[in-house]
Parts: sequence; C-alpha cells; structure tokens
Amino acid sequence: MNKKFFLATLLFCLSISVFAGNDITENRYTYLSLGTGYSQFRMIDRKVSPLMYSSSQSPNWLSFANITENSIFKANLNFVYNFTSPDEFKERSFIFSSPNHNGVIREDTATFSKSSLIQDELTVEYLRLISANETGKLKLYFGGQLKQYFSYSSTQAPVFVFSEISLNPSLLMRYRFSDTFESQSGLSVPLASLITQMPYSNDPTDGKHNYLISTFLMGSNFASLNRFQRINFHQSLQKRFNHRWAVALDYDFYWLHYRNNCDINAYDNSVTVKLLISLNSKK
Amino acid sequence: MKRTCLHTITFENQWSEAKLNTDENKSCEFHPTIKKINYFRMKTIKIVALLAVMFSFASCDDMLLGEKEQNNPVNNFDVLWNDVDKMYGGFAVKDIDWDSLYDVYRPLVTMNTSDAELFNIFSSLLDHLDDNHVSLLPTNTGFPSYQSGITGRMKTFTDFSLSVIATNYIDELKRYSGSILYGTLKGNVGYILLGGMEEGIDTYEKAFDFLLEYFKDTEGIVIDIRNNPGGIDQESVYIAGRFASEVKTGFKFRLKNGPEHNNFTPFYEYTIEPQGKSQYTKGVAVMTHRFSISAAETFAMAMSLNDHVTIVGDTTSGAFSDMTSRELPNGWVYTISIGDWRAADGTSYEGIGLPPDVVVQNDSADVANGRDEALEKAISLLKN
Repeated sequence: MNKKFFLATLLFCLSISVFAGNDITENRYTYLSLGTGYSQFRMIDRKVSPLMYSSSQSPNWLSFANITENSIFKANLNFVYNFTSPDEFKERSFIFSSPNHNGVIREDTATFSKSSLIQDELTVEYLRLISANETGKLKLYFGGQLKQYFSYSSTQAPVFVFSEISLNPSLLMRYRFSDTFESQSGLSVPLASLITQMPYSNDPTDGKHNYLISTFLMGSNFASLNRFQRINFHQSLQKRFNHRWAVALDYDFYWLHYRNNCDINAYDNSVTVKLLISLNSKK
Repeated sequence: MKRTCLHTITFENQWSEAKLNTDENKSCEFHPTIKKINYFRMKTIKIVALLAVMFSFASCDDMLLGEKEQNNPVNNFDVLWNDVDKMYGGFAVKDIDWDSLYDVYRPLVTMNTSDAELFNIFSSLLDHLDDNHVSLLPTNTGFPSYQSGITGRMKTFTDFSLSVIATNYIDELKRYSGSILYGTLKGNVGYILLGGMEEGIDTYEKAFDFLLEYFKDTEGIVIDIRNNPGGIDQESVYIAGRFASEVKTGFKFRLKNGPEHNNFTPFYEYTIEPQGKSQYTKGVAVMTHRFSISAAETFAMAMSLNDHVTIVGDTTSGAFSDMTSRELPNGWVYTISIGDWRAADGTSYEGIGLPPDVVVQNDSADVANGRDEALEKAISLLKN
C-alpha cells in the first residue's frame, strides 16, 4: 500500500510539473498545498454490520491548483490511515477454545479492538468562470470533477470495502475580502459513478484472482443519482502572506448513501490547515 | 421512529438571533462606523451560523446514517434470523426449513430475555445448521463461544496426537514455519504436517521447494492434515498443485448473491495444475479426520483427484464453504457459510465430510498408548 501511495504521489507531482513554472500574470496563480487536520468519519454498511463505525483521524492533503482569469484547475489527494471501531463497542472480548495437536483443549480470551481504516480520495477538477460581480470580488465557477474514493477497513469481525469513481458537476464561489484574503465555497454531487463494495456474499472469491481484484470484478456496479447520492461541500479561507506563501483553513464535509440490497451511509467532517506554496516566479 | 435532533433546534435559535442582529443593522445604517462594525458582526454571525449548521447537520446521525438498530433481545433475534436467512448458503443442500425454526424459537425471546438465555436460544437455533463454520462469539459476557457442527459437539479429538508421532514414528520432527512441520518416518517415508492453510502462497512455494527437494529420495510422503482448521482455498489449491501432474478441475463453488435460499452466482471452478519448480508424483498419503476442516478439506478433495494419492483416516469435518463474519446490534459476532461447495463431479459433501479412500479410525486407547494405526496404514500403503 505504501508503494502504491508513493507511486500515486509521484504521478501527481509529475502531472503538476506540467503547470509549474508558468509565466505569471496578475490573473494567473499556481500553487501547491500541503495540509493536515482533524476529521470525524462515521459509517454504517448494513450489508456487513448493523453497527455504526466511527473514526477520528488526521487526513493528509496534497493539492495543486492553477487559477487563471477564467478557469480553475485543481487536483487534490487526501490520504488517511487510522483506526475504527463500533460506537458502542470500543473493545469487545470473547472466550474461545480449540484443541492443540494432542487434543488438549486450550481456552483463551481474545479481544476485538480498533481496526485499521485506510481511505484515499483523489479529485481532479476543472471549472470555468460563469459569473462575476462588478467589483470582481465575487466570482462563480461551474465545471466538473472526476473523483476516486476508496475506503477499506479490515476489522477482526467484518470487512468493509467501498470504492467510488464518479463524475461530478461542481460549483465554486470565490469571494475576495481583500487582495490577500479570500473565501472559496464549493459544492459537487455525482451524476454517474462506478461503485464497488464487497459482493453480496461478503466473499470476494472467484477461484482465479486475489481478493482485491475479485472484489472489483464481483462487487462493481454503475450507479446514477437514484442509487448513489453524495454531497461534497468545501469551504476554504485563504490568507496570503506574500508572493510565495499562504495559509488556508478548510472545512470539508461529505455525506454519501449507496442503495444496493442493503444501504451504505457515511459522512465525514474535516477541518484542515494547509500551507500554500506558489509555484509562480516573482514578476 | 422519528427522533428530534437537538442540534437542529440549537441552530434554529442561532439563526433567529442572527436575523435579529441583521434587523438591528438597518437602524444604524446612517452611522458609518457603526455600520462597519455591524457589517463585520453580521459577517461573523453568518460564518458562525454556517459552521453551526454544518456541524449540527453532521452530528444528526439518524438523519445522515439512518435509524440505529435497536439493541434489545427481540431485535437481536430478528437480525440474526434474517441475516442467516439471507446469507446462509447451505439451506438447500442440507434441506433445512429455516422458516419453521423461526416459529419455534422466536416465541422464546421477550424484551426481558437475559443475555444467558438469549445465548442459549441462539445456540439452539444455530445447532440446526450443523455447520462447523457457524459460530457465535458472545462478546463481553464471559460466556464461552458457541461452535456448531460436529467439531462443536465433539469439542476435541482423541484419535490423533502429534506427540505420539514425534515420539514413536519419526526420527526428528522439525519445524519449517509456524504451521509446517516435517521429518522422516521409519521406512524412508517423508512426513509433512500442515497445521493450517493460511501462511501465504509465497511461503508455501518456498516451503515446498525445500520439502520436495528434501524428500526427493523417499519412497513416499505422508501429508498430515489432522487437526487442520483450514484457511484459504487458493493456498490449499497451490499446495495440491505441487503434487499434480496434469490440469484438472479440483472443485467448484457458487456464492450467495441474493436473499432467496436458491440465489447463487454461477459455479466458479478451482483448477488444480502443476505448480512450482517441481512436483512430487510418487506415492502420497493424505491423513484426515473430523478436525480436518474447510480449506484442509478442499485440499484433500483436490489431492484425491491424483492417482498417486490415497486419503487415509477418518471422514473430514464437512465444512467446505467459505464463511463470513457478521455482527448483531448487541455487539456479538457470528460466522456463517455463504456458499455451496461441490466436488468436481457436482457432489456436495457439506455437512457430511469427505470420506477417505482407506478408512482407519484410530482407537483413543491405542493413541493414549502411543499407537497411530492410521499412520501405520498410510506408511504400509506407501511402502507397497
């Protein structure tokens, strides 16, 4: 997994190098941002368990944006590795027994405790300016984004897998309080998605492939808005200190609902502090 | 059931307050300083209100995640019965009338049923599945876990002892890894004990590269899968491939894909084919008994397709299917079989067990006295 994450990060960095070092005008701004923060994730996958699982985690963000007078290109990578457990049962112990190789029964106590949770979200977004007020302080953009989201948790009891590849129309509002301080509010919803979860049997076995591949082969379905709903909300306050450096305080929220035999519902609240590094050379 | 969301009410109050403040602004609009102060005050209130709505909206679990399952004895019973009804793969092959069991056991559960009583009712209900893959872990109660099927009823075995083999039949029992032991039996017969089937294909590849080289000059090999609780079929199929000389269908299976008892995927197949850099095609005896379970059984099934392999001992456990773990609203965890596993010819041994080619049921008194009759039979078969 580390290797894949490293590869994804490398590809991401290579792709942004295409934009880095562009000529600068006042209307062109290219930056890379790194961030971390705090998020609360809560989920119920009724196909796997009737219990609500939650996790408090530290998301790690790597973002790139290229802003021109009339358009915005953004790419965000968010990666989380943490632990999850059911809300009401943080730690559960049980007694089990089994015979050893001489038939002597051994009784032991085992514990279900926190289980690992891996999540990633990669979003590539392109927006065009559709409206601006007279002063140019308020700008409204509309565009689309391609989102890839993956969540995996292997608890000692059930295994949760959820993957989304979706096309989302998106809306972004920028408001400049001053030359150095601005707000961005974004909203997007998926129209068409490829959703993957564990197959009905919760057993991704096809006799030929490993579990990861067979999960995608056996558990993937196309879903439109009537089966998969997700609301992504993004609010960012950005303060620029000088030509090179800026900081941002972001709030992100998503809620998702997937209807397929049994519902999956999840939401996530996160507050992130980001450091923005301009890739433009000073004019 | 509708539930009032306290956070929404709080937000509504804040919003009303914000509106009041906005109205106040209007009365001050001719005073520039006050206007500026109130402008920022209004902005601040709006931002606070916006954040409040986000967090309050996000903390209404019932609205965002749906209503929680009620944690009471009646609902726990219903969740268990319904989940098994939709997920269990063995109703048809075992001819179990699950609906009628609801009528028998559901009236025994009331809202006042204690954990101990509920555990006994669940155990009695799950007994009818007679499946070694069905278990119930009553977490945080102090009760021992429940195990269905023949191994649950037997608890343990008296027909096998590794100490007897190590003491009386083998020169030196060596450990290759956590669950792989080996040595040479009297009469130049190799002995490999597989204590599980989940060390990973990479480990098994290296292990059998070493073991088959180590035993290349033996007259045969005994592979002992007694007291093997199973593991992963892909791995048992790989090991069987180290003893295969041609490509064959090892076994086939289908998985539940819908709530009806006959909702299954099409059959998938596991193909047994020669694996690794070498294969052992001299005589092999695979030793089984009632505690050879799951992937150990599919291994025996796949091995039995080879002409040079003889299955010796007692019938296996009869739990071939894969299983899954699930939870109940009270936090208890249970496991069930979710498929229909068949031999290559379509025969189901689920709940029955794979019968050996040569039946030798060890007498517990013999084992206690240091004799393993089944192993002796296996050695004699390989020597002849």
